[in-house]
Amino acid sequence: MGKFSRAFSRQGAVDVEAVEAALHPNFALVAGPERTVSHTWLDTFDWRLHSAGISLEYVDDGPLIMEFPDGSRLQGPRAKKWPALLHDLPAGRLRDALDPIVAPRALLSVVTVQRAVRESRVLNADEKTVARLLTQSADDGTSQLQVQPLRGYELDGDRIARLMGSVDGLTASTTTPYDDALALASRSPSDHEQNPTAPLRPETPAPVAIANMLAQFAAAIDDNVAGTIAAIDTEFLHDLRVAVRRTRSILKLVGDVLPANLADRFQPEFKWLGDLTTPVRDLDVYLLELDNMAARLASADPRDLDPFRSFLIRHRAAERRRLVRGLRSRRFEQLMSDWRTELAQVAADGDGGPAVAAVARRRIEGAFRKVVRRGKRIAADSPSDQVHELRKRCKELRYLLEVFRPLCADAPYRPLIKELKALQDTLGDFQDGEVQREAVREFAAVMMEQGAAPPATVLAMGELAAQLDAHQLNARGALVGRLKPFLANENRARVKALVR
Amino acid sequence: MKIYATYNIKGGVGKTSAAVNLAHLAARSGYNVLLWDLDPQAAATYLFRVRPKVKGGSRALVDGTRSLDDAIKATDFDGLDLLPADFRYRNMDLQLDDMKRPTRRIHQLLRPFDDEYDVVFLDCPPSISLLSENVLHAVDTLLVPMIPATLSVRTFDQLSGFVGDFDGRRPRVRAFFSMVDARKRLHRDLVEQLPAERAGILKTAIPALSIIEQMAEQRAPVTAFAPHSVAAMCYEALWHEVNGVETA
Repeated sequence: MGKFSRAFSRQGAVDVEAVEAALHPNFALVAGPERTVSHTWLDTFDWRLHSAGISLEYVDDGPLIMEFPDGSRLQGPRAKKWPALLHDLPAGRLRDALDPIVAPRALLSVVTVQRAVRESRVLNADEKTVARLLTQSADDGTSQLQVQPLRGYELDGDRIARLMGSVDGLTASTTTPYDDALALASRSPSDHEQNPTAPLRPETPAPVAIANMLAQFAAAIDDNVAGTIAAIDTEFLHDLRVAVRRTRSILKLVGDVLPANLADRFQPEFKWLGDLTTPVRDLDVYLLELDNMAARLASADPRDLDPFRSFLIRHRAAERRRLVRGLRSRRFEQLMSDWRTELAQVAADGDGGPAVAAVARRRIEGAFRKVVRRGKRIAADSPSDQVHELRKRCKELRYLLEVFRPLCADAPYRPLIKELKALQDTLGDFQDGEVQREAVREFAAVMMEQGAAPPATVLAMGELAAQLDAHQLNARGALVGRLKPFLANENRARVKALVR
Repeated sequence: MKIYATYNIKGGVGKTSAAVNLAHLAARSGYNVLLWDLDPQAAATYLFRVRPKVKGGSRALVDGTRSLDDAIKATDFDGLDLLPADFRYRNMDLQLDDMKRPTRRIHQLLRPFDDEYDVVFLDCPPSISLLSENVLHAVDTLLVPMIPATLSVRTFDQLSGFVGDFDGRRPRVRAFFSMVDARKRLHRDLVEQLPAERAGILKTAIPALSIIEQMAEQRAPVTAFAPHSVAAMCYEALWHEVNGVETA
C-alpha cells in the first residue's frame, strides 16, 4: 500500500467526468457499465476475521475474496451454502490462509447489501491498465471510490490516488466497505466484546459488580444457544459451557455477597446446565483430536480407528438430542429468565455491601493461599486425585483473576497470570491424559458389548490409551518443575500488590 | 505449480503466440498464471502493453540481487501476470554461467512462486544455449510448435533425444503443428499422419491465420479480442489437450 489513501467517499454520486478530468493528461479512464450487485460478507460468530483486520466477501455469484490489512487480496472458490465449516470450502490457498484464523469455527454470512457499482480502468500512455477504479453508491446517497492499482504499478496507484484527492467533494475514507455494511448488520463486533457495559470500578458495591458480571455471562449463554442447537460449529457449545462454568465459579467463590440466598438457589440449576452440556463437548473433543491421535499411532493403522470414529459420531448424535431437548426445555427457559430478572433486581437495588475491590483482594488472596497449600503437597509421585484438586484450585484462582482484571495493577498481574497459565497447561495435560485414557477404555468396553469393535480397532484403541498414558506421564514429570516458580515468594508479593 | 515452456530452436514458428494465448486461457479458466517473457525481443511483453524493462536487467534476477517478485506486472487480464522481457536478457547465458549450478538456476528462481501461481509459462528465445538448457530442466512440459516440414520433425526428434538423456527429472516433450497452411499438401499430410505415428505429437494444430498476426496491432491475445474466432478455438483445443495430458 502507498502512503496515500486509496479509498474516498462523497455525498451523492461520483462524477465520472470530474474523475476523468483529474486524471488527464497522464492517465485515461475507460469507464465500465454501472450495475447493481449484491455483496455478502462472511465472518465467524466471534468475528475472528474482523479482529484480524481481514474482510471476506463475495459479489453476486463470484468467488470468495479475502482482503488482508495491507490491501492484498486472495481469491478462492465458495462453499455451496452458509454457514460452512472450512472443510466445506474447496481445498486451495484461500482455505489454507483462513484455516489458522478461523478453524474450528464456521463461516457465517454477516450481512448482504445491494450496491450500484462501476468498475473503470485507468490506462497509462501505453494504454496499459495500471489501476482499477471501483465506485459504489449506497441507498443512503453516499458513494465510495476505491483505487486498486495492479501489481507492479503501485507508484501509478499512488499518483492516481493523489489525483483523486483533488477531485471536488471526494474525501479520504476512514471506513472500509465492510465497516459501512456492518452498520446494516443485525449483529456487530462490539456486541461480542467481553468488556462490561458498566466498567468495573473499585468502589462499586460488590453485589452490583458481581451481578453485572454474571449478567454478562448470562448474555454469553443466551448468545450461544441458537448456534449450539443448530450445530453450526463446536465452538458455540464450548463458549456456552465456558459461560456456565464462569457463572458457577463466581457463584461459588463470591456468590455470598449477593442478597437473598441467590447463589444457593441458582447453583444447583447451573450445575444441571453444566452437566447437560458435558457429554457432547467431551465427544466433540475426542472427534476433533482423533485425526491427530490416529496419525501418531505406531503399530496400528489409522484406519483401524474408523469404527471408533463411527461409534463416537453415533454416540454424539444421541447425546446431542438430549442436549437440544434440554436447551429447548421449559426448565432452561425458566432458569435463564428468572436469573436475568434476579440479576437486574440486584443491579437496580444499587447501594449496600462492601466495595468490590475489597472483596476481590480478599478472595484472590484466599484462592492463591489454597493453591499454595495444595501445591506444596505435590511431589512427582503424588496420587492423581491430589493433582486434580490442585487443578481445580488453580482454575478458581484463574477465574477470579480474569473477572477482577480491571481492578488489578499491570505490573504484578502479567507475570502472575503467565505463570499460572503455564502451570494450568501442565495440569490440563495431566488430567486430559487420565480422563481420556479412562474414557477410551470405557468406550472400548461398550463397543465390544455392542459387537461394534473388531479386534484391530480394540488393539488400536489400546495403543491410543497407551499414548494418553505416556502423555500423562510426561505431564507428571513436568509438573514439579512448573510448580516451583509458581510457589516462589515473588508470586506472594505479586498477589499482595495486585488489587489497587 | 505446473511449468510449461514454448520452445523451438527455430524462430518465427508461433512460440510467443502459443505462450500468450495459452497463458490467457489458463487464467480465464481460473488458474493463477505467470508468463515469463525470456526472449529479449520482448514480443509477449509488447503484446501485453508492458514496458520491456526489468530493473537491474537479467543479471540482477539471475544473481538474486533483485527478486523476481519485484519485477512482476499484472496484465489487463485477471489472474495473468507477466515477468517482462528486457533487452539485457541477451546476456543471460553469460550470467547463468557465473552461477553455481548453471543449468538449474531458472528452476531455483521459480521455486518460491510455488504457492502463488498454479501455472507458469516460459516464452523462450529461439536458440540452443545455457538458457534453453535451464528451461528444459525447469519445466514439467515443453511445448514445441512446429511448422509441418520434414526438417522440423527431425529437430523434434533431436530435442526428444537430448531430453531423454537427462539424469533424474525429465520434462515431457509435446510438439504441435503451428502455422499450418491447409493449401499445402505436405502440411495436410504431416498434420494428419504424424500424431498417429509418433509419440509426443499433439492432435491440435494451429493454422496460419491473419487474425493471429493481428495480435500485434490489437496488443492482446486473440483469445481475448476475438474469442469466437477459429484461431481462438484452436488455442482452446490446444489448451484442453495440454492441460488434459497434464492432469491425466
